[in-house]
Amino acid sequence: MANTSLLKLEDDDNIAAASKRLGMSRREFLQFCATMSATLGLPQGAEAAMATAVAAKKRPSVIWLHFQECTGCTESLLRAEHPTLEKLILDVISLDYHETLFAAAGHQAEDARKKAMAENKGKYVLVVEGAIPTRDGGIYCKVGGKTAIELTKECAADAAAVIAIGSCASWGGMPSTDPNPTGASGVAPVLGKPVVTIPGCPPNPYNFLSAVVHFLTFGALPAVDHLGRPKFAYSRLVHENCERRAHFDAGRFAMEFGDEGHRKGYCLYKLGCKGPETYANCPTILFGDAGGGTWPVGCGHPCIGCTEQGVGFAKPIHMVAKMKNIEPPLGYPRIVEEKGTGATLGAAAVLAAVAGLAAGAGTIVARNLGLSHRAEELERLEQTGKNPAPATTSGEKAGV
Amino acid sequence: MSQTLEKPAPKPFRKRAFQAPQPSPAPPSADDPTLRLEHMYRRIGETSMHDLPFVNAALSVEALGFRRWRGDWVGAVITPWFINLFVVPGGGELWSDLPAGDRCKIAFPLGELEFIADNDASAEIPAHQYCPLFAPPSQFNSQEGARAAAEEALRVMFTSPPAEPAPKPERPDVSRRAFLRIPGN
Repeated sequence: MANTSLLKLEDDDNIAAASKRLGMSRREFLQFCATMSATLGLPQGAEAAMATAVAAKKRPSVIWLHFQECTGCTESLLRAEHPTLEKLILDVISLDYHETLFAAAGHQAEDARKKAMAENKGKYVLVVEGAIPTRDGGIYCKVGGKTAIELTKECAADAAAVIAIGSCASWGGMPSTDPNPTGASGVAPVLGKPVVTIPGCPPNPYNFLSAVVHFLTFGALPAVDHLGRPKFAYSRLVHENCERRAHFDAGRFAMEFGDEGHRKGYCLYKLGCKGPETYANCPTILFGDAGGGTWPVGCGHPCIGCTEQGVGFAKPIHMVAKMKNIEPPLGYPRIVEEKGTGATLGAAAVLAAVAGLAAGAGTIVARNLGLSHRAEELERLEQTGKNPAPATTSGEKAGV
Repeated sequence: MSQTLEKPAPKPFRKRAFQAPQPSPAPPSADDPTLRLEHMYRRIGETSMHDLPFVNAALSVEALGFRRWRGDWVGAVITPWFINLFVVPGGGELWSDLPAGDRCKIAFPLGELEFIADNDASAEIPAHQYCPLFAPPSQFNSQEGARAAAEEALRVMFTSPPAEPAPKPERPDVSRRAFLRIPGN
């Protein structure tokens, strides 16, 4: 039975050692685990399990491949806001192959990759950063004489889990922008099976870390949606949790950059904000964790929809967004829910009362009231016309 | 003078650079805000929301069901771009002055619902809080349908939920006496 009390961990030697390694006080370390656990939407007690797992230092071996990308994902991990996050990442995982961070080069580096793969066969985590060119046999990206396609397949074969980090690896991202001369693709189509994706340009390092710590603590990657995105981070629209939401509903819009409305912090919808059609937790945990306590909308720039295929790098920045509430996706848990409260009983009853009054209204009301599970069930009902199946974690289907 | 030798409290992991200003206390509304709300949203509908792609032309602005509850005004508002539950300050217990965009939970007989705060000193209703039900209300093809949904939501939120078995407390309920007892005694 896992320990579920943070208080009991105050005197734990492992926790003390982990805090020391990370240059944090024990209290800060435990608070950090609690914050991470809340971000993941885990029940009370999970933070202690998480702290124990991180402190136990059973670091999974990670092999990190770079393909068509700008290394921005790695940069965002290493230049993370809180001084401890990059330390924590490097403490939590054993980064056995990473082209940017390697001192080794050439054959030495390739040997290290093969060695790590052999030693940790079936146990390592493969992280792919960057799109994979598929046109003309994949010749547009080669590392050590092998195409990106070959490398991905070779490294994924014996991996315990595969994570596609960044929009490029998730769905093609910027390199796949029309006319996509190299046939840039995400990881999943190349492997022919779903993987966990952490889209974003760059993605939030906190989301990556949370997914890895979830793997470390529970032995599996977190539950994901139909696009492989962890639900804890990508199940709500930017619009839903936006700090400027009240301006939207009251019709107070910035009309151009620098005008009165813009200076007053009004809604950026008319400047092309893609918040209403983009799933990400940027308003809650702040985009990119880049520091300064801000995110694009927070500092006056419309969301460009960088996490969302067909929006980011596809629609012009000034183009007005589609109000996507009309097409709800599969799951909508709250991104950050105070532990123990969940969606309110009140919300459930309001939903039950009004859902039947308009066709297809159930999911909309459920999502507006934050009733993720109900919305998911209703959505499934609408699609299959059958009774909802017992809840399972779709995380089981992802990864390898 | 306090000693500054103590270690400063740990910084929160996320601190927003931009914080909407704390509004001055909202003036309580003495009369029913129905007409003023309708007037305000009709004007918004004719100006800044005019012809936006998500606006539902089958709906028109209507505020309904406003009543005083625990001193504040509670009702629903239908506009072509949302159907929301509303709380307007009436000098009662529900109201709290929050910066625009902040979220709060308000308890009704049915249970707690999450509301979004808004305030705009220049508006006819300078401060209100709303709970989005339909945003946007694209499923409705008539005002009657929208009205029925809003009325039903209001009826339900003022109805006590059917009695349910009490949820189990997440941690053992430790009494003060047990807490203070010396272990082993």
